[in-house]
Amino acid sequence: MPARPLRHATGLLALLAAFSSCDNPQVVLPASLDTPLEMAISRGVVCMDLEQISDEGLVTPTMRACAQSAPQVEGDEASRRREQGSIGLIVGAESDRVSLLALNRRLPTLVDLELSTPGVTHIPVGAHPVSIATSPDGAVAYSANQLGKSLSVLNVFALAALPEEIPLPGAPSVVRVSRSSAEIVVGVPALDDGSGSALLTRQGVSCEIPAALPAKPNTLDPSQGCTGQEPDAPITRVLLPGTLRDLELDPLGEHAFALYSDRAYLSVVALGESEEACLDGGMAPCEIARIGLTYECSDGVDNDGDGLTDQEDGQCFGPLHAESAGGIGQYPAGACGNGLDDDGDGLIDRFDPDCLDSAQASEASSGALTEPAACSNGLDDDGDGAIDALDADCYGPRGRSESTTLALGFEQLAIDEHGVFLYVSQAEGKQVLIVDLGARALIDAPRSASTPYPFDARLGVNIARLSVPAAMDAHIRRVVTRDPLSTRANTHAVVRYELGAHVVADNGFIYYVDAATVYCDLYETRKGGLLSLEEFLTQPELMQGAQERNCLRVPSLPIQEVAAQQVSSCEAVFNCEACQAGEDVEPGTSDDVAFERCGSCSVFEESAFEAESAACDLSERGARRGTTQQIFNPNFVVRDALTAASARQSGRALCEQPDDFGASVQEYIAQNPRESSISGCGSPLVPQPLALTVPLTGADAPIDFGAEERVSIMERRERRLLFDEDGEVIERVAVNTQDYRVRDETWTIAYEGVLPGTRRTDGLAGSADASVFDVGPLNPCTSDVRAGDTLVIRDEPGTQAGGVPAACEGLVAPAGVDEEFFNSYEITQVGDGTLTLALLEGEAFTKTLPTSACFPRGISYEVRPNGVWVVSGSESGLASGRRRVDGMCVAGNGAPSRRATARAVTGEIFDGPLFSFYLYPGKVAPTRGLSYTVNLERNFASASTSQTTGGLSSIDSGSVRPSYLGYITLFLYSASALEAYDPADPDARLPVPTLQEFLLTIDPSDDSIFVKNISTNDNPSLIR
Amino acid sequence: MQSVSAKVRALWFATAVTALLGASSGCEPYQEPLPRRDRLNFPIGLALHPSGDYLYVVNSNFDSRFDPEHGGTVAVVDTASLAIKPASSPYIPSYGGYISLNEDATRAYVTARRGDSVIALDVADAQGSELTCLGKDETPSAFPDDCIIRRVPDEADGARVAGDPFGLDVSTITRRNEAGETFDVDLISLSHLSVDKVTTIALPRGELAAASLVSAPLLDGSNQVRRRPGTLEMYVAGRRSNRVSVYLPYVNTEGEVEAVLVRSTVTLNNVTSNVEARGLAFNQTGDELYVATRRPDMLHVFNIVPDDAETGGGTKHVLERTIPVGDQPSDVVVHRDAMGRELIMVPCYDERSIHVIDPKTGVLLRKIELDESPYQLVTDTSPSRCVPGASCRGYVSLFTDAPELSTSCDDSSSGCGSVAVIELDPASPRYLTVIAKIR
Repeated sequence: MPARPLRHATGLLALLAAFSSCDNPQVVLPASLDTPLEMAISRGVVCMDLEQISDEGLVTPTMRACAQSAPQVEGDEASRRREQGSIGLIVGAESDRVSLLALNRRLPTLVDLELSTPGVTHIPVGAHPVSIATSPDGAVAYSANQLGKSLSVLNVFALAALPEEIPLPGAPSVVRVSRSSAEIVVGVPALDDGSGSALLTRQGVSCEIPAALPAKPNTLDPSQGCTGQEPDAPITRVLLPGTLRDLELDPLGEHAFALYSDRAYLSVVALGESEEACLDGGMAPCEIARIGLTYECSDGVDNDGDGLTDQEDGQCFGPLHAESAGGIGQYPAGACGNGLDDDGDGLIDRFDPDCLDSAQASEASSGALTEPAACSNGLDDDGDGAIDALDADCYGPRGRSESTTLALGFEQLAIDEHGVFLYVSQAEGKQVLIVDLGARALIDAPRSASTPYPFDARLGVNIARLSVPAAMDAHIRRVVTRDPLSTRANTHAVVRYELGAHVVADNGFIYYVDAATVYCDLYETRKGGLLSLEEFLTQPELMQGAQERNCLRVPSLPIQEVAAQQVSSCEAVFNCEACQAGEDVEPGTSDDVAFERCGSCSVFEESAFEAESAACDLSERGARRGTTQQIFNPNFVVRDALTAASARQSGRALCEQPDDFGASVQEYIAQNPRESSISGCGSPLVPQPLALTVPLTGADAPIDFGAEERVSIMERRERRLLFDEDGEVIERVAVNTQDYRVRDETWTIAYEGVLPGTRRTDGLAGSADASVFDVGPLNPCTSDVRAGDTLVIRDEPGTQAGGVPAACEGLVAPAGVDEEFFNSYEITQVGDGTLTLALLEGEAFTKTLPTSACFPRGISYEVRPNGVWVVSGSESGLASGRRRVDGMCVAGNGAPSRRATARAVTGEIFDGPLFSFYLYPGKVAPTRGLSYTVNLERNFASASTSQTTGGLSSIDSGSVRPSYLGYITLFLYSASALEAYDPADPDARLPVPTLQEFLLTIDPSDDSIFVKNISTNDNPSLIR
Repeated sequence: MQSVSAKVRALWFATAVTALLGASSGCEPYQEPLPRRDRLNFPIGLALHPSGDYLYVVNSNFDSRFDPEHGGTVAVVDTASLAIKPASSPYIPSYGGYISLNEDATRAYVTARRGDSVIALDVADAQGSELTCLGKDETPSAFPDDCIIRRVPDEADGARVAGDPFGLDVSTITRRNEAGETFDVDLISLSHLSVDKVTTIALPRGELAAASLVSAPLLDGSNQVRRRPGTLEMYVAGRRSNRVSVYLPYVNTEGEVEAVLVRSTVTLNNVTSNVEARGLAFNQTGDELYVATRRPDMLHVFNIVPDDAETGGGTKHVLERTIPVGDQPSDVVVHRDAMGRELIMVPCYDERSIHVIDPKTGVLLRKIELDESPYQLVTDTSPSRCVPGASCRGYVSLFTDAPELSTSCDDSSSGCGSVAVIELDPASPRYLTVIAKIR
């Protein structure tokens, strides 16, 4: 507890000591920030020169108007180069101050406004400022004062607040300024009149450039030259439907996006005149749309336009479902979720009593258990006073809960420089949600990524396993590659865009959410074509008139590249293509190699290969608009720091060969001496999983597969544009492993292996009907038990007193018969908790059904499939693709993706949740017990910046709970060079700016600002 | 926020601690035999009688001036006159912590670190005007010796109350034994400042002789313990960890506590291993959890929601927001005002204020300035109070508040520390201000 006061006391003593020593006027900078929350940057006409007044870095400003050059073309104002301000303004909630941060330095520093006062002096504002914004020209800033229920208006030239605050009808939580109209937009979570949250708009204040510049702080009258600051100027209210959590404007300031703490959607508010109708039928400013931020059946939005929302909608069986078959839901929609009356009984979907879940394959009665659900049991299960159908939370009479409170935990919004994506950080799921602002739709990120991953229950990008994402900033990085031909260098370019967001989490790390990579082939890169980088990052309004705008359009997501998703490994396809193209043969030979001669093509059917090859072009990612060609690669992952290391198989696969199989191999070798004499796991005689890139035939085929890769890990695919040596734009598809999804774990591929979870000791033989076997608590649905599988009883029959009754002797294996699998039965029907058994043919199996008389105790049993391989992971488990609802087994857990499977067939390609392989058939038929284990190594480490490296976190709290993150790009000019530019001088060259990029976070829990200069890659620093 | 006075106060505090250490290392265990019962002495814990007529203030004898076994008191304060009733105020061992009443307000339980004690005091009447210890001969006494729980059962090999009991929650539950008899059980849940245990003591029918006790290692030191409304789940705030732990005491049909079942853990921060959670509170429906921490000075707001949204089964804690508060928060309280609106109040020890926060929006509504070191806050919960037209007050203990400008409390004629009375009637012009002090 006393650390901070003692630190202050120490600072005070040091300060006293300093003042007492006249020979060495050392200034000790005490910590001056108190609960800093947010920063806004004045990027306009206000510039600041700094004078260092101490060795410790204390600086004091002189304010001036930013410089500009003479126009390059006479009369063309746009041809001027303009210096822009780079002043950070930070609100300190507990100090009632706004601090000044000079950003036009390699290391940003706090600015002292009052030399005569010890320490660092800041700008006083109203009570408890929590948010700040600047006017488009940078001359005015507004702090939203929560306790003061007001806005303070700061004249940035004067570095002081205007004397009168603007009163508000409630405590504000956020303030923003429209770039296009300069209007002030304030978010108020609770109006004083009790009417809830509101968005307030008001005309902005403008302040002229003072005549008395340059000026020191406290020398200018802040009101001088300012207009629009009248406290009684009209304020327009837009009432909001939920409790406001955060507010952001699009880059032009035409729309506001409101995030709520108690609504699962965003509101889109038109700030000015809008062609779109207001939801309430009124006039703008008004709410014009809502964007759901979770599963459609619980997002509070009528997603499918049928006039019904969530619980009302007949396709909604629970909060995690979708309102339509193609909508966003955790589970697939089947016959009971398609909006059709499939069985012609006049009842549709949930209103058909035979429908228990949207994923049902039929609307006909399933015969499943229908014990009273929570919404039909006649009880007030959640104690809210409403029972069953009267409870608005119920999803029809089969609703499984009367309480459907979804955890929201939304934190912040961020929008990139051109309004392509909006990002929402969310504690629940520890994820960042991504919204396509063009389509005004949430992106189902795991299922829209380069390789869709259908098993993730989240809809966003998970940041880290344990850490909660907090503050964010979104941005677009751009790299322009000019045409190498000098004649086209100014008119033709390939541009690469990286869309994403930096996110700081409560573990002290800043992550990068990699949303998408876009390539663009632009044939007009001069005016009207490609913006300069400075324009691109700082003047979004110029994009509308530029051809480049076509580069940032987002296709409908998920991209429907169905054929490509059917290709298990494009890397294997490319290997096969390369072989056919002769790239792997000696020079001078024919360039073309026959398909059948290519070992790397051996896993493909020649007739189908052309289609697979075409699919791997990823042509669906491309679009052409006029002369502009765009390729959009969806990523939706956290960026990997270990780009050189990919997820891979660790070590050699291990195998287990049962004795009888080993004997069969030896026998085969003896009978076929001209074939392989290898009998181990990698023998070409042995059925085994092999990566799709392993050549199986020809000279390249290994004689022993023991050291080969066993699996082809799920790929991350990117279609790229680039210039070749001749200046032609070519396309390439690059593949890498999808490290982000892979886990460190062991996978087992076992022939007729035990289905995970089915080896139990609590089975019961049927008492009334011996063919009905009670499996106890086993869930046959999620364990993927199917009709045709085999149930193996592992116990010996006998009474509790011992001995085998005569009626049970048929359950004792006769001499010479393998007793391990003697008591095996075919499963003919899978029920909810029971399996119906039938006798297997052959001498090797019993001809007696199990009875409770023969097995009076809990029976040890297991279930194995027949003739196929079981694939399961030590961490991931088994991808059954199914789930149990109301005693019924329906699609779930990754369905309908074909990767939702756990059974591999000999001689076929298997596509599992994380990898694919070819189950090479070998020469000897597999037998039960033949199995391979493969260790996967993830090799993924988040590309992140640590805030705590080097002891940067505070000794006070040691905590990290950031409230603000800024990815700041500044274009810094030399003012003197600008002013000296003479367009009449033929040798004069327009000054060019220096780009400074900072990553900056503000942490009120630590009273500190963390700054990392990305341009210089200097060590980060901490400002207090 | 760090004013010069805050610095001076910190230095004063350091001096006081040094003096305290010096005092405790001396030969004389105390300077006077018994504390005066007509004044406050480093007050910590507070409880209001359900009638709202009497306030109980735990005085801790923090400077060890008095007999350790009887150095503290529980001052009974008439909330109408704001006068301490010395004759109704019993002694307790030193370093008293929290105080809590059972459901029917017949018993007040107090923790005291001296001797690792829980004191079970009887409430004399329906208005709560007096706290006494009923001796073994049923004689009311101001001395607590017969009412102290240190071992259960109270014999040489009885299980000891774990070290440094501090936080306290008292619940009354009902059990039906095999004979079909239904009876109440006072269930006392304790947190401990310095040991890694939590403790539950069950008193069937309130009988000390029938008590049972279970302690279990759960987290390294804990400050406060609170029961989640609608459940028997106990939430305990870690003192030297980054979490709040949740456990469930299992009480059998005879009213004996048999086990402490660990339910879950709520992680407060992923960087700091020690966030020092100081205060815990729930909203009325038990679906919001508020945790005040000192490293950092924050209020953490968690939604408690079903783990399985489809079935409504299970429980998980989702961080809704974190709200910066003043330096060194020491408690958090949910107050329901006359309009039925819930307010979060966080006394901030070093900032000398109470932050009043709207739990729905996270907006800071008011800072109530105080003179010194607020510790625990209680607010009126009587059905006749905090309704339109009725009185509504809060009481906050000010641990070191001296009556005059003084660097220490030792010679003050009015004792050391006070209780500030806060107006909580929204209709009052003095709403959310200090309207009186109890010394």
